[in-house]
Amino acid sequence: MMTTLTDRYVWAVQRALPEAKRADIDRELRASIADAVDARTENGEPESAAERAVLLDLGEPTRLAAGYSNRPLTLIGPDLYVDYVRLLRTLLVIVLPIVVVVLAIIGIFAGAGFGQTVGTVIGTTLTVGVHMCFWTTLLFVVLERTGNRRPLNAFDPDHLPALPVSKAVKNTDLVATVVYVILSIGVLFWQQNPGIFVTADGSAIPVLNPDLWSFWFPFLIAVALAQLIHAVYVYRRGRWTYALAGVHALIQLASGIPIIVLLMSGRLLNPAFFAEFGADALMAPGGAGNLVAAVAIAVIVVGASIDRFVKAARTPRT
Amino acid sequence: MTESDNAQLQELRRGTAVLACLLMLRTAQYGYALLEELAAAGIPVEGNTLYPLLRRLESQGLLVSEWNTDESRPRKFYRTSPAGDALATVLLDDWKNLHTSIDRISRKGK
Repeated sequence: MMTTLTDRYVWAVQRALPEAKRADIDRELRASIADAVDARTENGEPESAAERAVLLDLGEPTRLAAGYSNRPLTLIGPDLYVDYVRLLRTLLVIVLPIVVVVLAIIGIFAGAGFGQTVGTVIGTTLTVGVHMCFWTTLLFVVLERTGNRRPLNAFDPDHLPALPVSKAVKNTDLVATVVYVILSIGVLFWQQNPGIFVTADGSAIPVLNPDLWSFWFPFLIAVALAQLIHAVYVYRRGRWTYALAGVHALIQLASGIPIIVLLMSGRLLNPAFFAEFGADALMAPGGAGNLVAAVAIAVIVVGASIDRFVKAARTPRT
Repeated sequence: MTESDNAQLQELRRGTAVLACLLMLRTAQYGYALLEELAAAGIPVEGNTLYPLLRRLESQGLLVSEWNTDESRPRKFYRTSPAGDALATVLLDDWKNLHTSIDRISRKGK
């Protein structure tokens, strides 16, 4: 017996149905199609054209089957979508950076080189990020299909976020500060031990003057941590004020001035480093590179400080 | 009529198919014949909407069904159950109230 288009259509619908419903729907659907075809042929349409037209009217078989079995035609429906996006955003914006930074720091302390660390950061960002997206999506697809389509978090007006007083403090500002502080402190320890550069006999040689560990490096680390705390406070406060901009400027100066003075007096960089690798005309103590670096630091410190005062000025008084 | 007019009409008509089916099926009928009757009564419903809808209403206990194998082509006949009838009454009352309300609002604007 030749298979007809109807046979193929009904089979395509059935394939997407649960076993228990198949036989009954098969029988009814065939009767409905036959009735519709009859109605068309009675009006003089040739049978094959009529069958085609009827199946076209019924449309995509998978869609019809989804109607029969009350299955959603969306991967994640409107009930769960909000929770899905919220969880995904939390994972990618908050958890992912933490994981990547922690892994990078562990790598640095385990003796990873600069290139290896960059590789770790890019690699883990991609791998962990893709895993987070995949498993979260899979979880919600399963929830969507196992009947639990109630929103996971019932909306409560008390949990509405407070209105931002101004757009002056973005969370990207906070993230940038956190990353900058962690990287700075990490590099400071890293260049000392295990060291970025090694001598011919394999022992590490720090770029920065190890004598400064007695006071200036701990001081600069403390200042960096103060900057971190200040950034968190400003973020929570949600706006820049002149007082906060003033504290920010003091913190900037507290790190910028010692670095510039140490640099210009030739005490910042490790003399042993230059003895080992040969005095670089630019960066060796007294070299022109020192002046360029000092000016650059001064520009950054002053620029960042002015920027915060401008933000404070633009913030409307309340 | 524009595309968006069409979408608005569909939105407005959504739900009327259920009421029309429950009312129509107070006398038993099979799928294709019901489709024709609804179209003739001015409530056109697509087959790919109506057939799954009948099954859904049946699984909700609003319709009952029975196979009729007397004729050469066996057909599944649906009939409104007492629960379906009760629901139809509620829906119909609401429909009439809506009609009255819309009518009153439309008059007010003139």
